[in-house]
Amino acid sequence: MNSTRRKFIANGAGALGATALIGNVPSKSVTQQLSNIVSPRDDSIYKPLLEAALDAAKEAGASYADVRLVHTRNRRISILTVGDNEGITVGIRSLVDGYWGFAAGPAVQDADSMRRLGRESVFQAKQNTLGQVRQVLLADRPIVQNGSWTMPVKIDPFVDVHPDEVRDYLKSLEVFTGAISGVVSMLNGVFTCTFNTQLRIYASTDGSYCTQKVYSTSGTVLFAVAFSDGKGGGGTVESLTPAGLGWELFRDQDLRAQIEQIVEESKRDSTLPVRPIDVGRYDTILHSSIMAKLTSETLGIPTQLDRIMGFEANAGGTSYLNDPLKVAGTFEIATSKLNVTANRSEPGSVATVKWDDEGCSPQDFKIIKNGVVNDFQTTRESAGWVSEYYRKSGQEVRSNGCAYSPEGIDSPLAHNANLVLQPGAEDQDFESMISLMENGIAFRAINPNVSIDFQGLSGLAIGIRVYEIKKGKRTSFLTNSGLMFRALELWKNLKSIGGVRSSQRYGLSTSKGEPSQRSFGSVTAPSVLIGDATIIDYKRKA
Amino acid sequence: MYNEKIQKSKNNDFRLLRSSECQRISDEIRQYTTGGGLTSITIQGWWRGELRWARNRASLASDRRDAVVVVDRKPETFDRGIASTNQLDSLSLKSVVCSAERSARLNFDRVLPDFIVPAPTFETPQVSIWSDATYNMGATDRGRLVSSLTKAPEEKGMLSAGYLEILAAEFATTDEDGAVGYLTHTQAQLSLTVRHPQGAASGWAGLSSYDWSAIGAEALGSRAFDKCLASIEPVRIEPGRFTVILEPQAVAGLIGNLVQTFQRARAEEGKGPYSGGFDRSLGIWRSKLGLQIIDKRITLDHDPMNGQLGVLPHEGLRPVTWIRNGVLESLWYAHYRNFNDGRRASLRELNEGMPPSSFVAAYRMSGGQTSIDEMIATTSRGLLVTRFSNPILGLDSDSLLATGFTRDGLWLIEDGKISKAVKNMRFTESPLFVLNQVDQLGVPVPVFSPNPVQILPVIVPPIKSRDFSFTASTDAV
Repeated sequence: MNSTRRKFIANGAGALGATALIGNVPSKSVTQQLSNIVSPRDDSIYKPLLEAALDAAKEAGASYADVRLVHTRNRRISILTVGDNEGITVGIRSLVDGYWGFAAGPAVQDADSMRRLGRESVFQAKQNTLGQVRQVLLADRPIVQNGSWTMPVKIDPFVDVHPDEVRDYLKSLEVFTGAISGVVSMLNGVFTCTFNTQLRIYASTDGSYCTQKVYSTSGTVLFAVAFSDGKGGGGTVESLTPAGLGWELFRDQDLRAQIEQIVEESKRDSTLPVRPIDVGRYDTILHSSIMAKLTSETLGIPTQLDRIMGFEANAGGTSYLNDPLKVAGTFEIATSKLNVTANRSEPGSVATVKWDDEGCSPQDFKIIKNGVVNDFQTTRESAGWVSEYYRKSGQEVRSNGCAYSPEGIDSPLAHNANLVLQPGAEDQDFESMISLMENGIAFRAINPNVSIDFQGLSGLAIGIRVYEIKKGKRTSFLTNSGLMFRALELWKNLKSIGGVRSSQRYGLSTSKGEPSQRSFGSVTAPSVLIGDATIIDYKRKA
Repeated sequence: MYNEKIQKSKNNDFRLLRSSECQRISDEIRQYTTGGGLTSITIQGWWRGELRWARNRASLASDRRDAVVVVDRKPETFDRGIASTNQLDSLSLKSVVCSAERSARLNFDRVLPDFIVPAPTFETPQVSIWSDATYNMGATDRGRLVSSLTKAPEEKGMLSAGYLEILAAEFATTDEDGAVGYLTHTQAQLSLTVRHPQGAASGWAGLSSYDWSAIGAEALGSRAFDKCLASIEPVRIEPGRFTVILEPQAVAGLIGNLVQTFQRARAEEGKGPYSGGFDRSLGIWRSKLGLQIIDKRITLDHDPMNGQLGVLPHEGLRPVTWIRNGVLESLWYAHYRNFNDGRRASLRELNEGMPPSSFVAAYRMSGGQTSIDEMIATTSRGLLVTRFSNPILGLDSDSLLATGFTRDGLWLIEDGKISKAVKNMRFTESPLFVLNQVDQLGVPVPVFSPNPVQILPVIVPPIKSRDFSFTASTDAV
C-alpha cells in the first residue's frame, strides 16, 4: 500500500482527478489511493513510540499508565458534495498516589515528543497529591499482548466504494422519492451519508498492547413531499442511524421500500381528522424508535456508575439511583417483565469493540434483571466502588468494559455500551398492538431531543406522529401531544412488551464529561404498551 | 503584537504554533496546489490546562494541545473543496491539498457558501483578548486552588465537583498572496457544584472570561457552597404561574439563543416571532423592525470594543444594537439568498452593516439598579432561580416557547423573605414573554458562557418578571 500511495503523490493530483471523473466504479486501488490524507505509515511504527511514552511515565513515578492512539478518518457525502477529514491524536494517562494525570496531542513520529507526553502526564497527576488520600483500585483484567482485531464490514467505505458511487446512489433515492405515485413535488430533501473509521491502539505499563480497527456508518434520508390532492407528507428513514457497518448499511436493506412506506403512511395520515390532544391518562403504545431513546436516557445514562457517584455532577448531572450499593440487586425499577442487557460485542452495533479503552475485553452484562437493578456501566476504576455488591452476589469484580474516548486526545470515561431491551414472548409489533387496542393512544415518532432532567428521572417526549386509537383503528391524528413521564412509573407501568419482530436497532448519541465527549451506542428495543401514561398538551403553559 | 506578548510571558514554554510556523505551513501548502484559483488556509491550534474534580478530590488533571489545518480550495474550473488534518508533515500537507482539490472536482457548482478569501491581516483589536494571568495559571496553581475550594465542603461533609479550564489558542488564516494573519487568545472557565452526600441538595456557581484574574475563584466557591447548604431538604410546591427572580445565569440560560433568532429572511417570509404581518398595499411580508417587542427598559446589543465584550477581531466586526429600548432595531441573514433572476446575494452583501454571523452569540443586555435582595424584599410570593439546566428544548419557533428545568438552587419567597428551598421544576415559557413581563432589573454582570472556539462573552442583569409558567415538579436534585 505504501508504494502505491507514494506513486499517487508523485503522479500529482491532476492525473488523479482525471481518473476520478471517468467512471463511478473505479478499481479498488484507485479508490484506496483517493482516501488518504495523512501520510502513509506502517502501523508497526507506533509500538516503540507508545512504549517510549509509557517508559517515560514510569521513570517519572507513575504506578500505572496507559496510552491511546486514535487515527480517525471521516468522509461526508451528499448528492452534491464530498468532504474529508483525517487526524491522529494520542493521549497518555498516568496514576500517581491515586491521582490521574493526562497529557495529549497530535500524534507525532518522534520518540522525544512521546516521552514529553509521558512526563507531562505524571507532572499533571503530581500537582494534586497534596496530602489528601485518594484511592484508586483498578479491577483486574487479562493482559492482551499484541492483540489485533478488525471490525468485520462487508464493504469498506474507504476502500471498496468510490464517493461518486455513493453519490449516485443517494441521487437515485432522491429521484425515486420524487417519482412515487401521487407525489407531485419534493419540497425538501436531505440525502447524505457519513463514513467513519478509526484505528485505535491501546498500550499500558502492565504489558497490554492491542490494535483494532472499527467503523461506523450513518446516513440522513429525510424529505417532505406534496401530493396531487394538495396535501403533504414526508418523514425520516429511521434505519440509517449510526451502525458498526460499512457501506452495506445502505446496500443491504431495501431503502426504497422504506421510503415508499413513509409516503404511504403520510397519505393515510392525511386522511385522518386532525385534532389537539385531550390531556389525560391513557394506555399508550410507544414505537420501538421511542423506546430506544427512552432506554438510553432513563436506563442507560443513569446506570453509568461514575454519574451515580457524582463524577458528572458539575456537567450533565447525577442519577436518580443515588446510592449504588443500596439499589444493586434489590431496587425494583420496573415491572418484572423488563430485562435490559448491555454488550459491546453485537455485530453491526456502533459501540462494538474487541477491547475497551482500558484493554478490557467486555463481556455482556445485565443492567436490569426481571425489573431489578442488576449491574452498572463501569470502568476498571469504578467497578471497585461496588466490589462489596459483586462479592456478596458471588460475582467477580471486573470492569464491564465501558471505557471509551472519542479520540486519542480525550481521556476515557464510562460511556453507554450497546443496550438491548429484551423483547417479550408474545409475537406483537406496533401495528398488531394497535389492532388489539380498544381505546388509547399510539406514539409512532417523537422529537429526537427528549427534554429530561439532570438525573434521568422526569421527562417530556414531544410527539410528532401521534394517533388516537379506537377499536383497533387510528381514528385521529393528534397534535401538540407530549408524553410526560417519571422514569420509575414509566417502567413500572409496562403492560406488554413487543416481540422480536418489533425490535429494531438504533445508533444513538450521548454526551458527558468536561470537556464534553460525545459517543454513540446502539439501542435495540421493541414497541411496548404502557398503562396510564400521562399525555399533555406540550404547548400549554401553566 | 500578540506573538510578542506570548514570547515575553514564557519564552521557553510556548504551547501554541508561532506566527512564523503558521506562515511556513501555509507557504508549503500553497506550493502543492494545482489548477489555479483560490486557496484559503486556516490553522487553528490550542492548548488547554484542565483540572476536573469530584467528591472533593481531583479526578483528572490534563495538559492537551492540538492544531488542525483546514484547506479550502477553489480551483479555477471547479467548485470548492475542503479537507482538514492535524498531521503537519510534508506528505500529509500535500495530501490534504490533494484531498481538498479532489472534493472540489467531485462537488457540484455553487453548493457551498461563497468562497471568501479572508482579509490579509486582522484588524488591530481595540480590546484585549489575551491574558498573561490566564496563560500562566499553571498546573501547580490549579491543583492548589482546587484543594482549597474543596476544603470547606469537605469539612461540612458535602461533596464538591467542578471543572477548571485554562485555554490558549492561535488562529491563523492566509490572504490571496499567502500572507498570514495571526492572533492568539485566552479563555479561563471555572464552575463547581457542591452537593449533599445523600443527594438532598445542590448548589452551583461558575464564570468564564478571557482573563483568569476576573474569575474570582474563592467567591464562586463560597457561592456554590452556600447555595447547597441553603437548599437542603427542598419541599415540593404545586406548579403554576409565579413571579420569578432570575439570577443573571438563569437569564442567560433562558434568553441564550434569542440573538440567533433575530433572522430577517424568516421574518420577511412571514414566519417566526419577528414577522409583522402581510402588507397588502406593498404586497410583501413586513418584519417587526421598528416596533416595540419587549420591555422599554431593555436594550440588547454587542459592542466588540467594550472591554468586557471583546471577541476575536474579524474583518467587518462592528457594534450592533438588536433591541433599543424595547424596539427591534436589527435583524440578520443567516443564509445566502437566491433571487428569481438567478443572482445570489452573499451573506456579506445581505448583512452589510451587521456583524459577521458567528459573533452574534456575544451580547449585552441592559439592566437597572435593583439588587437581588431588594427584588426579594419587594416580592410577596415568588421564586428565586439560580439557573436552568441545559439543554432547553424549543417547542414552537413562532412564539419561541421552550421547556427545561431549574437546577442547583430554587427558593420560595414569601412576604419579602426567602422562606424555603423548593424542589426543581419544569418551566414552559418563552423568553419574549418573560422580557415583556419585567418588574425590576438589576446591574448587568458577566456570566458563565465558555466556548471551545471563540470568545463569546455574555453580560446580563438579574430580572424580576411576573407570571412565569412552571408546568411540573421533579424530584431530581
